[in-house]
Amino acid sequence: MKFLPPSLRKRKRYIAFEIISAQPVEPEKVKEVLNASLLKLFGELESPEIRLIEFRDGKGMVMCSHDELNKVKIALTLIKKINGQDVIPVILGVAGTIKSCRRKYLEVLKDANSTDGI
Amino acid sequence: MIDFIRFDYSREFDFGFKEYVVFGETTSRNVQGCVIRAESPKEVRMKLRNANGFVGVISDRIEVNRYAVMRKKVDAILDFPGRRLDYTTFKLANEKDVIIELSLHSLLSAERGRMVKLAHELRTVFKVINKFDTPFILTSGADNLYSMRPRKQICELFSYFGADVRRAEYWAERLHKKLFDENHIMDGVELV
Repeated sequence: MKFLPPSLRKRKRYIAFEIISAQPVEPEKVKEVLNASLLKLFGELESPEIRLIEFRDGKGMVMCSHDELNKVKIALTLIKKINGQDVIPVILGVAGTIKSCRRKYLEVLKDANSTDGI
Repeated sequence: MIDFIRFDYSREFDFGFKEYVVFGETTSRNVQGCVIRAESPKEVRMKLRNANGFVGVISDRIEVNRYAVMRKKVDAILDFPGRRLDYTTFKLANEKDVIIELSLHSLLSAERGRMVKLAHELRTVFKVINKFDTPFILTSGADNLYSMRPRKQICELFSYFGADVRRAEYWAERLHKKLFDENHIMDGVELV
């Protein structure tokens, strides 16, 4: 069998987040700082595996296992600085698929127009 | 929910808190808190004479915090990196109805090894708080805008360390009533 069937695959969660900062931050730096934060808190043994799916205009999405969701959320909350500048990490929401995560949290305000009442 | 902060916040971002109590700076936009920094019980007694409003005590000494909890004028024991509380203080806080602040700022400002130690201490603290049903509040304790975090994130972080978030919300709601509801006298007694 080439791939695992869906029932045997690990359940994933996608966390949409926003980084509020005075200057724009680079995706590589975000990944680096998030990994460092996880390692600092949980150590090499307990640290969850993450993957930065995307990061654009201060908003991004990170993937993790569903049972390690809380750890990633805590590590995100405890980020203070990225590349030497102060930041506020805000978790926008959690979804089960990339598509729904994008639709619910990252694209929802892209076409927002106050005249349409949105 | 109420947040305790250390600077005058202009509410540029919505962090999910209804009100902010400012300690250590004068404010007109938020609720003014009165902070007492003391090194000895005698100093607390002296400073409490001139204190009014919502009074919070900051001290790194166990005996000072224990003494402060027993005073009627004291409303809260504030958190900062290096604060020390003992078992008796938590028990007394419940009896004297003094709220214990647990802030995110003390975790954020901790250095490498210290943060893990603090996290372990937090687990013990929440065990004692749950045992005595001590009034406590989960706050950001921020001294600048970048130390602030959304309420939901603060609650999730502390719940990972064993905090009963629903109980924390109850105490925060009670404090809100105490500060803003003129008809509220005490639990179960209200002007109609």
